[in-house]
Amino acid sequence: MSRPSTTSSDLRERWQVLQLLGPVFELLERAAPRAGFDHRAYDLAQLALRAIDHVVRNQASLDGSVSPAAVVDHLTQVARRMHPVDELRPWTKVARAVFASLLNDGRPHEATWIEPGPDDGGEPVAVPFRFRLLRLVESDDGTAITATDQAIVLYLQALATDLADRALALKLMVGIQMRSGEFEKALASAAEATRTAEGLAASLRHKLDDTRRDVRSVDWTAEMPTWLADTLSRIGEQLDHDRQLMTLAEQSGADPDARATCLRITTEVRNGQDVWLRLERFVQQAIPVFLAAQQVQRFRPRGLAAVVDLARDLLGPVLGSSDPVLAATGDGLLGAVAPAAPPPCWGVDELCAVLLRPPLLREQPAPHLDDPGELAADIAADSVPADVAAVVADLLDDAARTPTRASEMLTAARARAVEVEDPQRLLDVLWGASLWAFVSGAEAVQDELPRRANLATALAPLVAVDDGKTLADERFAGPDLLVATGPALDLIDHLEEPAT
Amino acid sequence: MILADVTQAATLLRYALAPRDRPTPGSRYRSLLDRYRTDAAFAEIVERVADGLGIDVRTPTPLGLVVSGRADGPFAVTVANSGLLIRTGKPGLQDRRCFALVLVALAAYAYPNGESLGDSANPTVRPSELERFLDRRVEAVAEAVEQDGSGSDEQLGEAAKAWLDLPEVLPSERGGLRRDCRRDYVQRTLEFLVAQGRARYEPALDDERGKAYALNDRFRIGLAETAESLVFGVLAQDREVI
Repeated sequence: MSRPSTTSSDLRERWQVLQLLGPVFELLERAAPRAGFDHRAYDLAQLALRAIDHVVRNQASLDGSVSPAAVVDHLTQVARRMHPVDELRPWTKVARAVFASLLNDGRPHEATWIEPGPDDGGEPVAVPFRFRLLRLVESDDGTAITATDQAIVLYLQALATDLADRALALKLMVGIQMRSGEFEKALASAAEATRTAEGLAASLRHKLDDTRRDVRSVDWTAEMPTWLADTLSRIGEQLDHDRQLMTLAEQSGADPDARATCLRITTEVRNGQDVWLRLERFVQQAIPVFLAAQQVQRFRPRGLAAVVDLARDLLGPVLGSSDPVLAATGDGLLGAVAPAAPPPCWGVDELCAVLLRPPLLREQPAPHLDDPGELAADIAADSVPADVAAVVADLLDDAARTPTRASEMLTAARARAVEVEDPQRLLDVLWGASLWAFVSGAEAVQDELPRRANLATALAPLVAVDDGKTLADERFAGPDLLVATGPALDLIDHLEEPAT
Repeated sequence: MILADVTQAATLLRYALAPRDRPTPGSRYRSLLDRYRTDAAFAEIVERVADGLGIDVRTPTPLGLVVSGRADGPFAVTVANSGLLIRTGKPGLQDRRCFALVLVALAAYAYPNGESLGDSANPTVRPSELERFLDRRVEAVAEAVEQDGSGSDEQLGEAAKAWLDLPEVLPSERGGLRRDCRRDYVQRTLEFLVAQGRARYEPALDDERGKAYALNDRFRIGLAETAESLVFGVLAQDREVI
């Protein structure tokens, strides 16, 4: 005999509520042991509930939403209070692990309800159940986290009851308890009613926000008009009840024993009333959005996009397609998701500014590196002819052996003029060599010497001094320099000293 | 028709074309956007001006009017002119193929089915996971082609082959990524979408799996509006090739 369908439906609802705890078990059993902190030291299940509480409370507040960073901060503080002496200070890590498990990267959590087959041997049917606890959405201030209805059910520790009915029932209960003098019980019920009001307000705001952000995300034509009318009437009903409760609390407050409790009940009811008033204002502000929703959905009903599977119908064919097909798909996709690109407009002013702007980076020429080959080529191209260099080197060698005056060297050079092709050049080089010895003296360095090796060797040890005598020569004028080696000149100075 | 309305319609489009302009409370953009939502005659003028300019008006959102350029208009966006870093010469061909492939994979990964295109929750994407998703898909097609031999209907496109030839990661000396690796293409695509206001980097969601990026409503709305035509376009062009 098959069971009645109502039992099966009730069972499935309770099963769904059980599945809502799945992400928390997933966190405890799988994510936490691999998260790199001492997961036993923290009550992660409690942190998960606190995260949902925090989001729902913010959602029902004036702000209407809370950022992901604020949720993580809140959980970090709670985690720190759970284990303040943890040396590794993993509180942010703990908070992120809890938050990530609940958010599930914005994807729905999944469970599968397997409907058993009939007794006569039919096939069982698998029915997927997808749900989210937290959602990542856009708000005016950036990304925000909102709680889903399922999370609100978890927050209220309730089964799948109608939240508005529950809020009303609680308020009726407050009234009954106050009339029968059970003020402490009435206070607890009022607190529960406020809590339920926050949950319901969060649920309603969630739907309003969805409509405001994308008018096609909710079904305006069928679902929303009824929903909106229902919401407005419920808000009015709740506010009426709140007013009645306030009056009742004021009347009961006349009793001195109950005054303190009644004052707290009044505060609690006022808190709940604030939630409803904010929601009423929010709905009124959203009326233009509803008008837009009506208009947009009237002219643009939901497309066929709902039946498209992008992985199967788009990515799969693209992986096997040719370049033109891929290019067309890529361009089409980018054209749809990226903002329209205004073409650049160039005026003469802008063009001149770009062309004439100073360079941001100065051009630096590549460093010039010495090439040994280049140096060898220079040596070969020395300007002093080889025959002149040989005669001058001989004469300088003589001067190194015996101190000689420039005039004497010039006379000797003229005597050997037949040995060279250019006698004038011989005299010039010799005169230049004696001047070089005078100017550089003993401080000459290798690089400054003539490139001819024999000339450089002969000239290197020589120095020249001007001892006041004047050169008498038909070609050159100046002092008649005495050319010798440094030690030879020192010896001359030493020999002359007694005479002076 | 009041001519001032035409000016206002064009002004609204001007705001919509600047991706970083936001309809902040009290701003002119906000007042024009509210008028677009509530005044059907004005909305008609805006859409006609946009039509003439080759712009599709998608939908008004709290963050602005979502518009996109038509392929045949001056505001068209393609992989080549979008601002994605495409090199010249032979590497440019690889860049165009890989960026297009990653974009299609991103759409399929973040919005696997039609229901998710209508769901206003923002999915998050991590570069490593998107890369793995694409890798698995490409490898599955490659394996199917290899097993079935030349008689198979299925074939591996040049872009998919290029993707398989790339290394997964090429670390650079300074700690980042070098070009010519899969992760670099994925990372650059996500950063491009952030720069275009179609995604947001969410540091609060970072964990050992890497950085987290949340795709926003404007990405989803644009994709939802064009998904059908893209799918039909691929099918039609494939048939032409066959």
